[in-house]
Amino acid sequence: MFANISYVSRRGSRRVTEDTRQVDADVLIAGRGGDCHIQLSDLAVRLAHVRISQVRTGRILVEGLGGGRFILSGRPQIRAEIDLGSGASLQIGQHVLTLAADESGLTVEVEEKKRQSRRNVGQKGDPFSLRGTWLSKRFASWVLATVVVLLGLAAPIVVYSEEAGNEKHSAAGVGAADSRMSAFLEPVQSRGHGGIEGAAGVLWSSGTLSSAHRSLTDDCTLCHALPFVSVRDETCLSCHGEIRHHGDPNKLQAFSPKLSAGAASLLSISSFLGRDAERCSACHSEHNPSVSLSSTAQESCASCHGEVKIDGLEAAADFGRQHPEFRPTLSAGAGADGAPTVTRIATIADLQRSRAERERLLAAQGGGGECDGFEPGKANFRGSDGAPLGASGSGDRSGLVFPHKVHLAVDGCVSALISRLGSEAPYGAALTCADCHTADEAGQLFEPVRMEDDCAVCHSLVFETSRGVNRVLRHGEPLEVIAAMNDFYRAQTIEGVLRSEADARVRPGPAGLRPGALRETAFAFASTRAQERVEAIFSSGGACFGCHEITRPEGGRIEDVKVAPVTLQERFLPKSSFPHSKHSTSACSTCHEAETSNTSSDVLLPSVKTCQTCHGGEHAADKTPSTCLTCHGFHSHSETVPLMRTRAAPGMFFSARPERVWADLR
Amino acid sequence: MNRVDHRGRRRSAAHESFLRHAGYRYLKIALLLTAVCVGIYVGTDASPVRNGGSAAGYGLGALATFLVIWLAFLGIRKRAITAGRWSLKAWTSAHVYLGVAVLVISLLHSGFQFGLNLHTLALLLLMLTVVSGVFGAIVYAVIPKLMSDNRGQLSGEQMIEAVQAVDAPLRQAARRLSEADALLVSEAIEETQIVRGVFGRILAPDKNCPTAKALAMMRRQSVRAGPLDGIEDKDDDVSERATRERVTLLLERRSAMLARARRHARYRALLEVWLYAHTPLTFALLGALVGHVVSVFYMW
Repeated sequence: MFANISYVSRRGSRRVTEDTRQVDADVLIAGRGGDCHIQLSDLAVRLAHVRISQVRTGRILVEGLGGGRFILSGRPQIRAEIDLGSGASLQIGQHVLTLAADESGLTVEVEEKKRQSRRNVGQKGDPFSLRGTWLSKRFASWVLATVVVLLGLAAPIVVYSEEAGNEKHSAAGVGAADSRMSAFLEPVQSRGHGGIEGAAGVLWSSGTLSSAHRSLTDDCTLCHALPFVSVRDETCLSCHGEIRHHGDPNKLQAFSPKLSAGAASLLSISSFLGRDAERCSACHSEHNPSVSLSSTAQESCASCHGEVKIDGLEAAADFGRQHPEFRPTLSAGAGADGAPTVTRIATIADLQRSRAERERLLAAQGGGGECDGFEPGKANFRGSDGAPLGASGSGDRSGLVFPHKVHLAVDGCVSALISRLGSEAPYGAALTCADCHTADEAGQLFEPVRMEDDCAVCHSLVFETSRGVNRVLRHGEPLEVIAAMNDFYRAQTIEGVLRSEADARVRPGPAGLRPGALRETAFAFASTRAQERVEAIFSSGGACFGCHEITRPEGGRIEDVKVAPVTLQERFLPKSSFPHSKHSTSACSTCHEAETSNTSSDVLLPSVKTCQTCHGGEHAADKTPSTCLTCHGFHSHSETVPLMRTRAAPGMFFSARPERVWADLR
Repeated sequence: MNRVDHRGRRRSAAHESFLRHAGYRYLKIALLLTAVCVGIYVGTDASPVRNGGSAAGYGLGALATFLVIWLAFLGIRKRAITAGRWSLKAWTSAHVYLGVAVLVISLLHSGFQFGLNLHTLALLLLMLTVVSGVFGAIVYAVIPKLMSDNRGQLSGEQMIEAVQAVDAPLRQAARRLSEADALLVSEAIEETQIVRGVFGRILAPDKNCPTAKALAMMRRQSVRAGPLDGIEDKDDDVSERATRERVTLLLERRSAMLARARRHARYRALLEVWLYAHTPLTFALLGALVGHVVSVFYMW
């Protein structure tokens, strides 16, 4: 078989014959190998791929060698007989063999197809740049920004404006402030919260609410009533309407310190934006879970109180370094109209000085002995100096005579009395503070001392014992006491007279006293006896006189006796609070010098210096830091101080002029 | 070496990085600005707590917002090339240093209060933006030198051509290889991806490389040499061995060319990839910032 083999290639649209060979062989081997008749330079082709042999003229047999396949008419084949009448086309790897037969023999045209896929560069354009990859700055930017704005901004605004619309609708004809208030009081579930409003709230909230307002968490528009308008005082006052101001606002204005230019300009900008310095939220800052809802910074108080003397108050800027001495409110006895009065002139330091002076004088007189004039079993003690100490000198004029020293002494007359009373007295070996002073429920101060509960165990009001029954005087009612005693002795006399008359009827013999004379004598005696006993209890050594200040007009009747009203101060320092319960680890005597006090006029409050041994100012490093608000409140409780009121700031942001705010809330 | 330009200004001929532009002028400015802001944060009384709601907080927030918007403008600014004080290099230098400063200022503005809310999202996006930007600044400072060392005088296109230049001789040389080996070489030529996908080109440029596989196989088999199947070739083993050696040599060459091109691709990707995070993050940040500012004043 003679074969004419030509290798062609394409250059553009032109076919170029590169090489031509003539072969005369029985069979033609096509493959990659260098010794093949038809050379196919394709690594996917076997070294010897197919064998082509002539069956007869114009008909050939193509056989794959070692599994080599070829494509004929679009189908892979391993062996095929081909009639070359109209020519044939075989594909082996990248090569196309076009076969034809004529008289001279076989014509084979070999053409290598252009390689199409070049995966090795991976992308179009600059293969090294990321520009052609799936990454896209623009797409990602659009998607991210859109998602953030839609979810973070647009969705909450839609939720809140719908919510505000619903509330306005439902509040038609009703004071909106009232409806808001009632909404506060409704159970959270019935307000239909949580859900989408809650989600919007979480997204926008800058921090959790204080525990006092925690239940309002899902209801942002309750407080943030108007968009782009700072929370208004009106909203706060719709619930907290009873809150009073710090003092007379006009006076406060007058005492306001001069601001620096910077602070003043910041304040005017703030006011212009509807956030004036006196608004509720200036001090009560919400959404700050780490701090108290009420501003406790001492600077907020010290900005006014630190420099100027306001209304008789001395300057106070820092508890540790600059705080005036305490000036307690003391009883000052009865006024002209008989009503009890108070005084607030002397400081603790003044009172301590005058107490020391009094002690000195008492010692010079030789008094001050613990049980001078005391007779056990009789309520006749009147104080060490023999004078009603509570009435004299500066100090607390409560109307009572009460020497703490005598009562607290460990080996004194009181402890002797207690041991004599034995199990009748619910006390230990000696009296302690807690035997008479009971803490109040709040743990702040103490319940007022009551005679019946706290004194009567020792200070008995029994004035007679008749047939085994104790006859007791009614405490606190002098005229009733006089009447009761008179009645008692008269009744005793009647009983005696009746008994003697009965005896006379049955007794024979000469008549003694006539019954009429006997009655006269007996009633005269009863009257004298009653008079004496009544006189005795209101006089030195008597049951009343021992503890009370008693006056009686010269030459007047016993009924004219005056027992000074008892005005025990419940709070000596009413402008501050003092939680005794928090100080229970200290003994009472750490602060209260009661064991040496001879008279009830002694004020046993500690000096500010005593407090300062443990407490310092807000920034104290070596002591317990304490701010003004640790002890004092801002809002007054005095009814003379006006309620907090809404203020119309001069200018406001956007459309939120004061009238508008009011109109919206009404 | 300095020269004087036509306006009489002295200009340095030596290349100066954008980081050390004008003697670190913008680093100094950014440090000063940060120090002032820290001073405001520490020095002002913002009771009850330091956060964005105090006067200082509003001030720091306004400054940070202005800076973020200005920083974002680099994307527009870089498309206009000018010289001098407001050159793009000056602008870029300021962008980098003020971009780091804005992170500090924003943290001060937040008063270090964080929560699961839109406000913290804005801060988080700012942090991510700044971190991606810092990454970008680092690669811009480090990579160009490495890139230059790698490429010699070649362009990217030439590097690919250098790989492809080996294809024809390799194909020629491999003609006499056995079927299995020839297929490996064929795959090496046809299937080898010079530049892999986005992550592949950065993290594992050589993973599953057919060229490397073919080379390893050739080396393993270099001692063995089986008879060619099909036609009995009576040539001695010398030509067989020579063929293998030549193919191995060519594959080694192709591997070296590939490695260089892939290093180039990796460097290019590192130079570019951070911007694909930085830019979308910037836009997300701008969205969150708008949300943050509007929501705060909506619920004032």
